[in-house]
Amino acid sequence: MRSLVIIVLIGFFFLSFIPKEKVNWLSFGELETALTEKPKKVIVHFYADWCVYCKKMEEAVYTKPDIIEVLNADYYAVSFNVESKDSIQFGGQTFVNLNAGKKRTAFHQIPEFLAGRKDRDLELPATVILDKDFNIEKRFYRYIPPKEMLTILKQP
Amino acid sequence: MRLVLVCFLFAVNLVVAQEQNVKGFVNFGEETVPYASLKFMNASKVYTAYSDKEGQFALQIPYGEYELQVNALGYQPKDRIITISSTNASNLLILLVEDLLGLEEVVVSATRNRVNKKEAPIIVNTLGEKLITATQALAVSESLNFSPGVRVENNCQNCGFTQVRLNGLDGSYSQILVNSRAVFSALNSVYGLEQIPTQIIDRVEIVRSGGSALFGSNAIAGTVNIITKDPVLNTWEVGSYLGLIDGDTPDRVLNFNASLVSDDLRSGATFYGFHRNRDEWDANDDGFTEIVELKNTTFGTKLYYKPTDRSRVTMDATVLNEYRRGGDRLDLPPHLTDITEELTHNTIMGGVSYDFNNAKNTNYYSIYSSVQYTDRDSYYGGLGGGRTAQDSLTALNAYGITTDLAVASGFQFTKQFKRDVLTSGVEYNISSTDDNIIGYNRRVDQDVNALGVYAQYEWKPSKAFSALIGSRVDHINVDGIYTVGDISRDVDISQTTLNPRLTLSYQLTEDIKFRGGYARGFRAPQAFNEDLHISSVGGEPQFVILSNDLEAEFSNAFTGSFNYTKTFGRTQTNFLVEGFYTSLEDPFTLVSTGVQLPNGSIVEEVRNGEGATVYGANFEFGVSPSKKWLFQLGGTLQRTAYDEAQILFEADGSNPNESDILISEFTRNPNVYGYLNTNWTPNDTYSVSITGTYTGQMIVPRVISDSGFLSLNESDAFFDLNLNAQAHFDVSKDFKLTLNAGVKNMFNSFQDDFEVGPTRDSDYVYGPALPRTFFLGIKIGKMH
Repeated sequence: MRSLVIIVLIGFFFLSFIPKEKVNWLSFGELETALTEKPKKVIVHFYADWCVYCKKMEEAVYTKPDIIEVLNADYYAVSFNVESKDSIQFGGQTFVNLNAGKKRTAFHQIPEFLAGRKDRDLELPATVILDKDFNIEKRFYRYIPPKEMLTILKQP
Repeated sequence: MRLVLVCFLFAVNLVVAQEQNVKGFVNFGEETVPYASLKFMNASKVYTAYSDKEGQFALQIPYGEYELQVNALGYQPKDRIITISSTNASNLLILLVEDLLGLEEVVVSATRNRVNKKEAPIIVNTLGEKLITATQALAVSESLNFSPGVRVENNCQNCGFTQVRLNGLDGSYSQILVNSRAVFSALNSVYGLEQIPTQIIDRVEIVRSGGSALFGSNAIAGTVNIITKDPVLNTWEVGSYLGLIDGDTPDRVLNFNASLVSDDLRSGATFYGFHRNRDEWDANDDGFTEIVELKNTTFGTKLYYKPTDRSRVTMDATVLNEYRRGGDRLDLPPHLTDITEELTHNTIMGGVSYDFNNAKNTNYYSIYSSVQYTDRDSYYGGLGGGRTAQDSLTALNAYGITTDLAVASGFQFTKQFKRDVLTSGVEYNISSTDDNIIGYNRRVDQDVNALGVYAQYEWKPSKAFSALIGSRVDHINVDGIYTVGDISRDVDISQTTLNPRLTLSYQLTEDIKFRGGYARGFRAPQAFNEDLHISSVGGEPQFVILSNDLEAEFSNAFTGSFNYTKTFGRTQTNFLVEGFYTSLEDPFTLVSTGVQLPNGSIVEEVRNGEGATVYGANFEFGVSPSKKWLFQLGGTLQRTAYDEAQILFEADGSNPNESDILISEFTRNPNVYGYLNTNWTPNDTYSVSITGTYTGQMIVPRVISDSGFLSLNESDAFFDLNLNAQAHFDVSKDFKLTLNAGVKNMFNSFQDDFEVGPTRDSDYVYGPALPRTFFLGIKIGKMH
């Protein structure tokens, strides 16, 4: 009896190591290649290290199996740290972080370009959805609960 | 919301298969459009380009016919067929028409609209987690010193009771709030600040001077608002702390907290626990404690549920059990020792609030109620050095029981106009205290009912100017019976007062803001805070009792300040100078009337003292050149003066060497005090902080004879400097480790003339709360 319990426990222990489905996050470089090869809709998740609600999105939304399924099937998903200091080659142009070393919250050109607003500051988490031709369809500047996210993603 | 894109293209057909330099502009009228994306497509290839900051773009592309897609924020993307040729290659002009209605699908952020500190009409000083970590504060009381105008003092070496002074006015002139609710009762304020563990605190907001009508009528010096954490992520944390007071006396803490929040953020809960066990410490080896033994266990939870997008129910509950004991021979029953102050608190606190707002986010409503109940066993007494039958009897008589109930309920309505804000509300507070020491025939049986109605209008006629105009009407009813031995006093008073409050602020330049305010306050006669505490002098308990005919006290407070805030690139600077002037009419003052009771106990009376003024300036200077460095320096220069000399000790004439003691300024109140706070965070792993407080010289009364006769001593100045080094490791995404080590009061700047023996004056304590103390701390968990 005792050994059975141990076996079952060990079984559960190994079960937890079965790789779970994950969102296949791309970089902007990978996205460009992917878009030329096979156009798909794109979702961009902008986050920062200090943004608690962004972490909540990563923990509670982008881990849900049904969301992962839709994302991996119908979308290219890109996750981008708004304070990144990297130079990004995209669409034949180089995007850099012009604010790095100058401002406290130094936003990269990419989020300024995709999620920047005229008269309001960029608020995080920012989620940008683009169509197959990389045209902006929707932008959200708040936490999106899993159910709502699924509805948004399933909209044609 | 359709956007119109018009492309004017100067095209001539000419096909060259070679790649050519093509340049152009994306324009809206005369203005250029930066960061527009352009895609030129033909059957074989896609060419992409972006307009730069000046709206200019360039690319290498063969002449020919293309499908062009242009995207720019605020403009609807649209396709056009264009032809690039040698005639237009260097001057391709793409003209866009702007959408005046704004963007489609831009959703308003769910994050709450916090008022920018810089723009707030009242100066709010915030003490955050960073400072609490830097000072390794275990209780709120230890971190409050790091704000201008605030000083926490230790008032008793037998029980370690502390109080907060704001702008030099003692604890009864300020209001302590937990999540903006007045749950601290008269009894709570004696030890309560030491009982709230810092791990549940998000920040502490300190407002000096009562320039807002939302605060209670007594909050003339200001408010200390303790804001607890609101959970977002699923987290857990376990921490431990070991301090060695004076290098050998252990102070141990174990705490945990965990949060669970639903994925849709509609419900969540935080649970926390805290246990502290501190040994007693004796500074001068006389066998009597200077720092008391302390055992505290606290459990609590805070949870919320959002039935709809626009409403929220919040509940919290905390159970607190604290044991503290000071004096001598702590291993013996209290009545067999010379001095013991032993207190066991069992406190339960809880609250519910329901907040909701209308669809347009213009009307906010809040209904709340919180309750606090404390059951306390006390022992304030001892043999006092004697060994007679009478001493034994007195010692046995010192056991007491206290019950204390405080209820705060209210309703608040906030209306947001285009720029102005109206806040109004009703608050009802009940405080019922019954403190009974049967053996001494000492009893405080007091019921206070207070109803406050307030309204405040924040008027912003222009961007630069704003005014907070408000008033509150308070109706207070105090019904109390106060007995000590054969002295009995009672208060039965109902009083209604109108307390206007006004604050003006004006943005002089972009970086400099002026603020000025006036507040009127009042306090009804009642036992508060230290009036419920019994100290020990000359081996006998010293009681406090309200005098006959005690009347309400009124005060008028004026403040004016200049605040300079500027950010140069990455460097943030902040400079604040604030002047304050407070006049007190008939302030409640403790006067020692000497030995009055048959057993030789000293009685202090709360009387209406001479009128007094408190005036001075607070300053704060902060620079942060980058996220890696932070320097803050703040302090207070002030004077206190009684209009006429105030009596502190009333001689009965029996001893020719003892006469009345009169004083012209407040005691236990330095004219200069301040703090510094520096932090260096070179990277994500390490961080070093140096923090310190300066306490200037002050006059401290000391009882020097059995009759209660005082001498007025001038204390030394103290500079208490702390060092904390921290290392943080991300073991994995979900498991993190933080280690701390350092020393508090590294130069051991500490009082050196404590009284000795069983007849000591236990209130003769001043200066920093701890001698040199080494500490180690560890925190593990899934933190963020």
